Amino acid sequence: IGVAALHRKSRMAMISEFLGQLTLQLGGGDPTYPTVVPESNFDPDKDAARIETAIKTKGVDEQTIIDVLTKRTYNQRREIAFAYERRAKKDMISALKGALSGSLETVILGLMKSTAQYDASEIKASIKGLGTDEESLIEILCSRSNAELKEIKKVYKELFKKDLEKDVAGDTSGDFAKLLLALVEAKRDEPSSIIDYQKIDEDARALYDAGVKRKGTDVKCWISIMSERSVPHLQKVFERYKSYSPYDMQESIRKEVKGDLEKSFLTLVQCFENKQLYFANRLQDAMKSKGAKEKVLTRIIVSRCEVDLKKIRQEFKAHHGKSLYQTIAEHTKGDYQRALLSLCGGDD
Amino acid sequence: MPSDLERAMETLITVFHRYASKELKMLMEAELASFLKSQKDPAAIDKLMKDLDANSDGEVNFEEFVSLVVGLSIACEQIYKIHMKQGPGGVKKQ
Repeated sequence: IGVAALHRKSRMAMISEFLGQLTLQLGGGDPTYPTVVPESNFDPDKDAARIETAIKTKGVDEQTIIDVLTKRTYNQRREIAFAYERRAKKDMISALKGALSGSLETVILGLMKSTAQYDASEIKASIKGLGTDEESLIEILCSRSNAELKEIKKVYKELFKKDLEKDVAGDTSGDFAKLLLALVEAKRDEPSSIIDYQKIDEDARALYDAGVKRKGTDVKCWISIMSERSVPHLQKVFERYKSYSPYDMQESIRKEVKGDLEKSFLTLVQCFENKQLYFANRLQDAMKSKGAKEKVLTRIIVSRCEVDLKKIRQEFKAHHGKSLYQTIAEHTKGDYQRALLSLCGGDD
Repeated sequence: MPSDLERAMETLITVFHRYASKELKMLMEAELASFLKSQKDPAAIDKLMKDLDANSDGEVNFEEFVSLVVGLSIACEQIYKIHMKQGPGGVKKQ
């Protein structure tokens, strides 16, 4: 009995000790900074009536449609669509398609899709037809989380009756394809409360040995580490990496690989380090170029307004001097501009 | 003669009920002091307790409480494995 009691006592102290070593990581998921939040005192029937009137108005009252739909969350927009169908006996999305046109139509129809549906449609549009819009493909696949990618795969199959993996494989090649497919597998580790310093060091050294240290690059090693480890782990790996390599991770990527593979790795690393800054830079590039790349602008605003657009605004102002709101106002016009500004929220 | 595991389960239940009419914070301060002390971010604890109330009814029921214990146990077991210098093992399913 004496021995058993001693054993139990040391076991109890052991757990106490272990608990003292745990560090809580805030979340299952990142904190959110949306610009579009649920409307309080939400009345779907009233909204549906306003939209019905707006569509029937001569010349279509775009302003009302913008006012209603950009100030409701996706779930609320769906309720409005149901209410609309009950009263008008017509499908609201088809009605909107008929009433609107151009860039405004693209925004509004995008808002009527769920995040996963929207992402799936954007991916489909990037690979459809002759040629591939690699930049959009990279932007979406390299910035979405495990959970988001799993949902996208499911919805993609429902919408297009095809496997996302097969379509991506069919439209890309080489190491670029291998990286995208590894990401689509969505096998990334979940963040753990334990910091495994040994593994961080091993991974940092492996990345260095596979790239800067040798002639050529062992891309497979890079792909497996960057697609399988959890994000908090990788953030520490890239920090540790600097003690082995004379160049930091982003510089190393630029030195070691080129083309779409380079863009993909860079996007991944930029998203691990600061996803909102990545999007802010992408927005700046899209608007700076002549003939503002509307597709990119629309996609980022629509897909992030319920996720982290507020934080993207902060990063934008901090790094580009001007507010995102102002920049959008300068580079777009008309109803399209009004819709984007409404989704963007404040001028800060 | 109750087994170790049966006694552990009984302890889970009795500890929970000892604090059932009181606040979750009291339970955590009394029963998980080592864990609380090691957290540098007080906001993380608040978020943890809010997240525990999965059905958002203002109270933490036994199921929600046990999910916390499970999460902590899994984390402790990972440290236990490193300490025992064992590879990943499992209990064989029959």
